[in-house]
Amino acid sequence: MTDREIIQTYREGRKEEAFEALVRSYGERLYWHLRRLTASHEDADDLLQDTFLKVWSALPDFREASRLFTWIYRIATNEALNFLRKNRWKALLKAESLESILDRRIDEDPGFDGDRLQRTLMKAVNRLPQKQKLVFCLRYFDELRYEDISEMTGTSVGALKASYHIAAGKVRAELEAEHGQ
Amino acid sequence: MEDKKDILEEMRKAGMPYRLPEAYFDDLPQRMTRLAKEHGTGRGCRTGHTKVLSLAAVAAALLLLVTGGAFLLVHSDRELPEQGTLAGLTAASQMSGDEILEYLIYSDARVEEFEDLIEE
Repeated sequence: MTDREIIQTYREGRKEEAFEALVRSYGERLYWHLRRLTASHEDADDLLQDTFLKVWSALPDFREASRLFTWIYRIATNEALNFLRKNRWKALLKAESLESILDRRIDEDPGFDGDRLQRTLMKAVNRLPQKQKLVFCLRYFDELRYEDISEMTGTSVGALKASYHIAAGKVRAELEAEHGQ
Repeated sequence: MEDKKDILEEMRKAGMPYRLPEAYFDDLPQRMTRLAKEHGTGRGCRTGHTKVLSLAAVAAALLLLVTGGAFLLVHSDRELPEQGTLAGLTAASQMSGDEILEYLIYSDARVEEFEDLIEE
């Protein structure tokens, strides 16, 4: 079902059918987006549920000023950023940085199935400043257009391109250093 | 011309290096729909318990703000480095160079204004 068909189905009163179609369309992409930001399957799963609950609650008010998928991505991203903000405070209380906690999660994740270089990639992404990390993930992993990311984040395309360029440079440098070892 | 492969592009082709619980995505639509129905059908669907907790959280936040503000007023004799320098900005705002750079980018500053902050 296309986005237009999902909205149409919802407005015809077939809300559950529309919602299921929406989850089927975007669930997997949103899960990976959340997993990359949180470095944890359990947290990504929780945030995915929270995201879709918010979508379910807010669908009656969806005005199509933005497209459905950028709207849903924005909800998911806000959930993840709020979660990370809370965890940053918790980390500070333990005299740790959020980045070191995320690094440890990658090291200890029983579901991590990659090689040394992939581990380096995920850790390098974790160490990016928050906005750069978000832009990098949306562009590099999700392969979204800058115009879509701009709609999602409210940031100009020019600023996004600059941010991605800097982030990609940092990640590339870490990968090349690891690859050269 | 030597064909130098971009390591980032090579890594992207490898996909996400994670295993998931079996069939995690297969029943996701049904699980989410069931969850949504359990939570009610929409706007303002919050229990009384949740509302009380929210009010308590707001009250606690206000109390913290007032207490913190009073503490700062009493103990604000710390001198900050001279404003207008990067050290002054960094010390005053406790922001890293990366965060300041990001702020400049998002405020559409000209490249010349922040070129020297970009690490080589």
